[in-house]
Amino acid sequence: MNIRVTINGQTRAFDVDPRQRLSEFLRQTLDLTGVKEGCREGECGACTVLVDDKPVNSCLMLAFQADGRRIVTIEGLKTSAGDLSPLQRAFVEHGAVQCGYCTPGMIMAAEGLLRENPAPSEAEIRHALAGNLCRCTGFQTIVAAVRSQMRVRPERAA
Amino acid sequence: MALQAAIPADLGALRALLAGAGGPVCYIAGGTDLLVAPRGPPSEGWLIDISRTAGLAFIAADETKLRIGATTTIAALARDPAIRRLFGALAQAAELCGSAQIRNRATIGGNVAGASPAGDLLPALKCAGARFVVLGREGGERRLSFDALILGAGRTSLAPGDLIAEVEIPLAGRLPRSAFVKLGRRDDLAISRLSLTMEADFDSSTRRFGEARLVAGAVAPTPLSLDGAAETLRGAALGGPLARAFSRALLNAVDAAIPGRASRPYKRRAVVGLGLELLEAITQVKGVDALEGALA
Repeated sequence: MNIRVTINGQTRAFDVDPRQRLSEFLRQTLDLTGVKEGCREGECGACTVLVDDKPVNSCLMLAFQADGRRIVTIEGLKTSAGDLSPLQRAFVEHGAVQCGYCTPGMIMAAEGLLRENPAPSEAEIRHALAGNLCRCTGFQTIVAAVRSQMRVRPERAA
Repeated sequence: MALQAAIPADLGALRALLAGAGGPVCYIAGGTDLLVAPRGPPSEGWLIDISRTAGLAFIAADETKLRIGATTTIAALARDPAIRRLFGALAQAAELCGSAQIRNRATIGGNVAGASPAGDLLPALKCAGARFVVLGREGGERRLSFDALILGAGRTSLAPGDLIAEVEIPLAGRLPRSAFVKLGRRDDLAISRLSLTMEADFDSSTRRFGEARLVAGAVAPTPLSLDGAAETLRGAALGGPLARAFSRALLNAVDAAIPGRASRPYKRRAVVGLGLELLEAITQVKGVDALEGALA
């Protein structure tokens, strides 16, 4: 099936197999290997990308369903100068990365949260990241990294 | 015939597609169930993405009912002001369903069509007396009650090619308070081990219940009305005797619903704790579990 999709700001046409998952398409056709496939059943969140600004599991969406949509992967977060985004830098600075496998999905889920709710409470951050599993760092540093990015930053009760 | 995919822009395009499509038809919206099903998406016929078909994603209230289009996402249900106001239990069930990523894709129609015994929205929809508008492959439209649509674990009365287009919740008979509580292995992204949905009339000044309706999820193959337990609340004042009678009725209902099931010893205890949590949620009175004799 022929689709047109905007990926990390570039709109292109592709011919995709109707059974191919979006995660497979992003990794195999486009080499966007920041998208990780951990479980392929929506449990681990490592394949999280933004579809029209909302975080989704790219393993639970078919590539053809991306027709006409805007996809952002971890590779699309970098600044125009090629530097890490502020959220990515916060993960580094807070020690929120260990083995790194969950990190792209974790950051995309957090990015989706912050685009919708620029000043989330800690409870809102934890609820929004519940679909992303990390088996190395624990979640404290990850939550701290996201908290550091709150755009309006009033301290709110959890 | 190899699998063909289509994305109809609106219901007219969908009807035209169905009229000309040969072979089996499989609908996909969020895909969060279809892609984890043992067989996955089909390998022949038509795979029709309805997730952006205009006229299927909406939430609208008129004088008599709340109408929810089938491809309305779970995330949209959770944050919708009309649903929160008119039937909060459905918004609460939606907020506790899956993860943020799943809620952004999964739809109310898919949750219903999956007919999972643990489907989070189903008990809330049954409690609210929801009806379903179903479009047939040949173009006909019919309305089904909850019990006429949901027949068993994963079983519905939908024929091949049928599409759930809309969920209707009647406004007549809605009670002023509603709540949904759920027990899973963790707080988020957990399959329900047990859930309770209640609609009730409760006067906070006299602390007395009026009418009440109660439905349990993940106990039986389909959501289970707990009329006996709801009956213990009618006209009763919140206190130890009420909590005790309610707890006992819940426990008896679970015993009767799943005799001999391996999970019964767990669920008959769990339902009592969850029942007290439900009373707190619906009355907004803290410490119900500490009422004298509540757990006796």
